[in-house]
Amino acid sequence: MKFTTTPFQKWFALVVFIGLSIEAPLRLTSAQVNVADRVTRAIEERSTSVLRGHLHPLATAAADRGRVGPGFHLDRITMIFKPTGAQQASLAALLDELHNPSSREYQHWLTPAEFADRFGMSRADMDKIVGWLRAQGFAIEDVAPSRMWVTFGGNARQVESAFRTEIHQYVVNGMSRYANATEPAVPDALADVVLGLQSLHNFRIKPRFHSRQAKFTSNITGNHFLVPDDLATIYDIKKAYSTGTDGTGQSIAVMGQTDILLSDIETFRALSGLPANDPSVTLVPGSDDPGISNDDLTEADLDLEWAGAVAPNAQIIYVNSNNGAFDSLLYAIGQNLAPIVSISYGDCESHFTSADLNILRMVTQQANAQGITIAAPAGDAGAADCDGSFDGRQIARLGPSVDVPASLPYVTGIGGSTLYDVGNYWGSTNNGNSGSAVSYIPEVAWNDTLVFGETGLVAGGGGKSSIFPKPSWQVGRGVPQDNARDVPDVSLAASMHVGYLICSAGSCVNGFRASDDSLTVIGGTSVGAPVFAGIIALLDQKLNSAQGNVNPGLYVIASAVPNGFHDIVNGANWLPCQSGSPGCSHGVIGYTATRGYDLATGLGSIDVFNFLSAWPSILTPR
Amino acid sequence: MISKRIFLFVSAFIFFAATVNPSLAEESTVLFGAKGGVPIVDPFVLTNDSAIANNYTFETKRFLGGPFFQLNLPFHIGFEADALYRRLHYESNPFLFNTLHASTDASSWEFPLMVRRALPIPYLHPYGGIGVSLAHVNGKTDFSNAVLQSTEPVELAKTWNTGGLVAVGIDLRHGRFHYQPEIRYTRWATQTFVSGNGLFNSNLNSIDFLIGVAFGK
Repeated sequence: MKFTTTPFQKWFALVVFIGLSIEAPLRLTSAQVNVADRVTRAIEERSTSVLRGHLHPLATAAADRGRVGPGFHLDRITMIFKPTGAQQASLAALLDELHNPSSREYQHWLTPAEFADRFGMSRADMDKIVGWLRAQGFAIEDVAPSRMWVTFGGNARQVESAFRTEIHQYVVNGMSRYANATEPAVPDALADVVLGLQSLHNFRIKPRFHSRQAKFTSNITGNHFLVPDDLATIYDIKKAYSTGTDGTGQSIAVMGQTDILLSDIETFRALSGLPANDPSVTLVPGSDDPGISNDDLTEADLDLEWAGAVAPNAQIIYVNSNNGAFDSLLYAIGQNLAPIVSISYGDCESHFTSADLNILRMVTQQANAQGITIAAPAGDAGAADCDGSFDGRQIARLGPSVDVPASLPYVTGIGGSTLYDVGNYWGSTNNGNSGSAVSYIPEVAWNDTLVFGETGLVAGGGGKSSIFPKPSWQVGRGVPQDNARDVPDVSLAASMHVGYLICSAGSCVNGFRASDDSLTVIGGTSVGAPVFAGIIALLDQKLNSAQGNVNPGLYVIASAVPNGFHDIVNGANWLPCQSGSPGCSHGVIGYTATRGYDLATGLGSIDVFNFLSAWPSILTPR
Repeated sequence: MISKRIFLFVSAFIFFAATVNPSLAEESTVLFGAKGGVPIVDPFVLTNDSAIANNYTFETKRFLGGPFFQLNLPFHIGFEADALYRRLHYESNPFLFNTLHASTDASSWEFPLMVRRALPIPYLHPYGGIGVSLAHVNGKTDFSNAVLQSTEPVELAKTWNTGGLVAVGIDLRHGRFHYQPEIRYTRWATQTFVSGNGLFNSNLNSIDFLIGVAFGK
């Protein structure tokens, strides 16, 4: 059929075409704001302003071993900048819009450069600040593309001189640390623009895993352990694989603070029937090579192996820093390395300085604005997260507390469950991928202390934040009306009862077994973070887009499509506590699992196929 | 609040009936006695859910009993107030695994207030009644793990409850003794016990077979 057009129609089409051609650039331009210069005076040290909230709670006088030498080197100190009040309000509004399917801005993620143009420092200000730091003798290591921070290194004398503080050595729990002994200060000209300084201390956050060398074999004892094939069966991932959703084209950044042995990852993948797919390794520029740290190596291996286990064809980027996993996080977000970040490190809220918390809040907001999803463990010490920082502690005494970064509203906090495998949930033999799970296995709240007599405080982290208020999206059946950010958001298997097998430090010599026939078995909410990151990689692939903060979507899906989750309704993260200590009632501290959301297991675990199917039907642009 | 109002109303009615109107008072009789019986329905309800393993059990062989007071008024109308005790017991594996066992004992005191109307039939003196009941429950859970101290049951959602009741029975008399077998149904307003997994709850319906033995004029 032939169509003919009139002159009017041609003119109309031309006008429409021209209109459409110029509309998009206009929108982009209107979104960009030329940030004003805020450093309006010369940066001089004569008059300074103290930056409050930088004294680490573990850097006590009792632990103080005196001032470090002037030549003591400090790497990767980061000066983070504070948006103006208007910028902060604008950022909060933008984050809402970016995650609202009804908004025109839905998922119009910013690049770091676009973030800089709206919320960062001006180029002129950055030049002045970098110039001042150089003048103090510091070596500039990294200027964030978002112009939200600058990273530099120098010796103690330079730090003490520039920031009017003293760097001391401390011994805490037998470990030597350094930290600023007094609050730092910055020149008055920077007082209104500096949010804080990171890495003036090297108190490391801890990996959230539990491990054991299982001195037995499953075919003798009947014990079961998880390999990727089992997890894919239990959480209904295989159906997603069958539709080609396997992480292809996606990337996950895993935060670390140790070198790794690629051979561990390769062996794990080969034993699990996963395709060869080595992670890429990025050492944060300016960081010394951290070498291999045994605890951190286990964490890194389990993160890399299990993120890749769930999303076998995703690219895994391992980000490594001698200055800790938070430095890796800063770099990964600053460079926009991947749309999904897994960090399995954390500590309780009160073990952070307020400056560190402000920095994390700012940085994770930037991550969400760039479309980055961050998964973090909710902790392994039940409702008594701070007590969990003390190895071997048997009774909680410090009161209820939750884990950072999981308690940040911009991060998805992953709690723990135990697979209740009493019944016919395992096949009698392993399949070609070493798996034997035959179906979903019911779950209860993770509590190895009470259920299996595990030494110490070992249960899924959960509770309410004492720092962060209730996000608007955290609503639904069972969500407490406590005006606080509640964690966890979801839970995944974490118990050593059916722990995860990994290969680490050359442990897999005879299959998954070491030369002494032992298996390296891992539990903890540390595993949940990379597993969840893998699930989000599948989601990103299915939707062909990054998701940013997935928490709003999780709560919507839980209400609208309950079969996207396995609601965990039995068990509790109770732990024994000292009578009279905060939150201790009748000898226990913690919460029970209930129908709907609860502070022991959050929304429950995930039926991945149903979850992936539900997301686009519920959270599509409108 | 509602319970308090009902209690005040009934108290005022008794006071009025027994003291204010002398003519009625002269014709009234007062009985004191005890009631005992067995529940016909279980105090708890277990719900089946194929997706969730049931980790609760309870004992059904329980009894209830306690003192009662009855005021008979003219026109075969009477008023009864009871204080009935029943003991409850259930067990659970909070984590499903049998490595941690929880055993709960609870005490329930019910205070029914009932207006009765008897039929003028010799020997049997059948009656029916309607009223309200107030209940208070407390309890204690013990754990098999010595780490955990005894605690108030986590399933105990409310310690006070109210309900409406109806009853039918007969009043067999022998001298100054009254023997009153009765079937009583109480509908409770709320569930006092609610498990987190939703599979174990207190029964909103109580049906009890009671026998009262009373002495009076």
